[in-house]
Amino acid sequence: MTYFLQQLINGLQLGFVYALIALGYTMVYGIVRLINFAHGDVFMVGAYLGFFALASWGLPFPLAIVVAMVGCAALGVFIERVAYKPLRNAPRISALITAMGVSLFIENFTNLNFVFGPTPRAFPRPFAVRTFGLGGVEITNVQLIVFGVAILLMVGLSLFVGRTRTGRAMRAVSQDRDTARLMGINVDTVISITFGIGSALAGAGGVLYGIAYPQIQPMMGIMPGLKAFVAAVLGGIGIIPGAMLGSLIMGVVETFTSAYVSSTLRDAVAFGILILVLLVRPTGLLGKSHSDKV
Amino acid sequence: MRTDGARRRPEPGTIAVIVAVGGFVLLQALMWLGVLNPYWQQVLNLAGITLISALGLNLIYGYTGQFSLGHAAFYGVGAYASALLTRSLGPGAGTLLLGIVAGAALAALVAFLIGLPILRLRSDYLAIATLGFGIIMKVLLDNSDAVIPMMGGSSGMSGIARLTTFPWVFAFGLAAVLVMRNLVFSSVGRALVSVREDELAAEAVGIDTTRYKTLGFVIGCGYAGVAGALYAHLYAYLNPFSFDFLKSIDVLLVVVLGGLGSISGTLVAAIAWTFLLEGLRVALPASVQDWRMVIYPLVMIVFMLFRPGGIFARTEFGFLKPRARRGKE
Amino acid sequence: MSALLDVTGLLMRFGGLVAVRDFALQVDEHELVGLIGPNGAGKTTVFNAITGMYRPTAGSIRFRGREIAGLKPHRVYQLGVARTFQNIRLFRELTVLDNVRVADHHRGEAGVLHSVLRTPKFRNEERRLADRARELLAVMGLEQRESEYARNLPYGEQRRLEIARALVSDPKLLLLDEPAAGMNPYEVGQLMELIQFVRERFRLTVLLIEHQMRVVMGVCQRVLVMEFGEKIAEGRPEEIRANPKVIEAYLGTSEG
Ligand SMILES: Nc1ncnc2c1ncn2[C@@H]1O[C@H](COP(=O)(O)OP(=O)(O)O)[C@@H](O)[C@H]1O
Ligand SMILES: [Mg+2]
Repeated sequence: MTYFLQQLINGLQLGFVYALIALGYTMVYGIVRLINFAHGDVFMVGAYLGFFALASWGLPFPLAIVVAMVGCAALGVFIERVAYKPLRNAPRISALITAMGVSLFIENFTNLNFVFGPTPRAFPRPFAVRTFGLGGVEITNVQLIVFGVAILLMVGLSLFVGRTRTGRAMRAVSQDRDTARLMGINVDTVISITFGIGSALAGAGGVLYGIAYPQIQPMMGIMPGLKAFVAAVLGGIGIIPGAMLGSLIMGVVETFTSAYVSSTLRDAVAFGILILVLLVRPTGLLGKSHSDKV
Repeated sequence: MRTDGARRRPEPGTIAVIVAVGGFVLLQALMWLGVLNPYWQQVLNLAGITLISALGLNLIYGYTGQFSLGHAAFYGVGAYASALLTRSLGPGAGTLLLGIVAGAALAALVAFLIGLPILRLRSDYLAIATLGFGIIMKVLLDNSDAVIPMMGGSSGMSGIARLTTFPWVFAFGLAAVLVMRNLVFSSVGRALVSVREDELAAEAVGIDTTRYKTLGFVIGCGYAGVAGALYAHLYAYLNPFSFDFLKSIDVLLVVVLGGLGSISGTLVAAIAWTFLLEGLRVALPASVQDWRMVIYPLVMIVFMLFRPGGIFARTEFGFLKPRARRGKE
Repeated sequence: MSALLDVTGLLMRFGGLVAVRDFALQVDEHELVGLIGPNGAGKTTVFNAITGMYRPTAGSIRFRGREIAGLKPHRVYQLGVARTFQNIRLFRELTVLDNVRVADHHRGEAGVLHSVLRTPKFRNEERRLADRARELLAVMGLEQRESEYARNLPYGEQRRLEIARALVSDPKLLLLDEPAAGMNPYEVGQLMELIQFVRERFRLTVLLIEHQMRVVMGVCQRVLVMEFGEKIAEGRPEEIRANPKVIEAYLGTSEG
């Protein structure tokens, strides 16, 4: 039982990191119907920005998160403007292929020696790791920080989307872009803001990932990125609470698979879930179904 | 009157065969004369294998409109299946042929089983499902030694006979092109394209779209199986790493560069791209080798932004068209 | 004699929205029936239910005595019900000829193997498909256009091509969804003549949707009027014109 609870906590830690990535996926998909494959790489860049902020510039941890968020927001907006915006009216698969191209480009470009380089780097811990015992179950201050920061950001996002003018505009654009435009919403700006916010969250996720699993390298975003996307689909793509729920489930399932079955099979289980969800309930756990109009 | 005239004109297919046989003799001569050294022979073989695999993906995506990101998984199925067969039965031309057939058949069978449920999904959902399938297949290959020790799991499968030679690749490459041409320019081919163009309208004119989506997918994956079998016996060593997601993107890139729905495009792009990548490997100094992997996605992005139809944009070389159409083209 | 098409108690619900309710429709062999009603009345939804695009929430659809509700669209087509779409749906990147002959594909027997091996059976069949398609193109006045991509045709020709495509496999029942949309009165007149002509020539039964009332009045033997998902009137054109419910339904709409 303690082992089970221990794995649950570990799973939630992973799930919260996924959630920060999945939110960007789901927001972008909700608004431009694009699987932004490069999103996992933005997450990776966030981890590196955190690394430099801590290790090279000696910034305190909260500031490192801010640096990563701002840097990733800028990167996300830049990618959208240069690579995706020109394809907004092209077939969806063209944009998807472009997104894969952008993803590969970021990975291989940062893999060059004069950028980040292929050698993995140890992520600095800005504080000593402390362990708290809780009835046989152990929880570290790192885990508490991951939970705390992730929850804080998600609450902030919910408030932003629910309460502000910009948040309302985002929801309007995701429901019907043309009508939103007619109502005087600047659709381009809203799309850029969406990419910016989503990327900022992924950046924060990168830093949290860095302190939780302290080794980073340019290809580190691929698998978490894909799995976060799976989580977004699981929860119901385009739905913000769905992305959070799906991510926590994914994190826990993956950790349990490693703990109870085999760690080599955990990727297979994650994507097995994906295929199952797509077949049984493509709208996800929290999505509503609807039929296509002819 | 029209039919009589058409019958006497040489079939463009005949021209294609003449061109092909000429090309074969020329290339073989170059090899014997030592102009094409073993390294470039290997590259040429690889180009042919890429062509076969890419034709399959073009049938699935370019003609039938079903976007698949799992093509490499079927390539892997063909490779491993054929390698197991030739290792069990012993090397030889007969077993290679059997291996190729078995590889293609197994890839097609797996495609059929996975395709039936997932081909119901649309565009990007299908993409992500096939991607997921590819990753699952990679994990299974990584753990294959638990079931079949000979497959070697993540450390790879070795001891495969080097049976793939240029004539084999050429013969199968040529067959792949001709079969594809005959298929595409037929009523069945038009049914496939109608699914790509408008699935609902296709249903509305009597096309069983589920059936044709599955057909295109199964044949296309069968092509991947043939390519995989030839690949296995070209390098004599298989590693699950060669069949991951990146490999699927590789093939996709060839199809997109050449042109969706164009056999000629895939033909040119498969050969040009393989030689370009290998050429750069030889031409570039070691210090900038890594740049190849940077240029490659850039080419992909630039094409999508500026020439989404690819080089050939749904046109064909004359000799790949079945027969000049009546009236003005 | 039982009706060629017999729809009874049709109910079509989308979530909370009832698009069609308690709808009944009988069409006899060789009739030309009009289905009219304001936008959003549920006319296209009726077509979609008949052709298998939607599965009815409830109700029965019999074609030549056989229940077809819930069949896949391609099955319904193969049984002899062809349609056109309100918003033209051609295969844009196929040629005009290919657009038509692909709609006859299901009657062919040469499958993959014959195609790949180019057997005589395949050749004969290809010839037959092409000849049949050209016949239809000639009827629709499109024989000069056969090598053109469908997307390059002007609007009016696209409408005619869609009809040619719907006719190529000898359907019994033809469903036309607002074929006159976007045409000027002269073109509409021509189109109606064409519809009459093919109906005679191919011994067709035609069900025609139109939301402008006057278009159907001249050609149809019988007219049904829908509003808010329900049939509000049915009868000969002159009866419909005088029906107070219909007048009310069309009141305030410019098309009336
Ligand atoms: N797939 C669908 N999902 C939800 N609502 C639909 C769907 N198809 C049609 N409707 C609704 O049904 C009603 C009738 O539509 P329709 O049959 O297209 O009207 P008409 O053809 O008479 O103009 C409309 O309110 C439309 O929005
Ligand atoms: Mg309508």
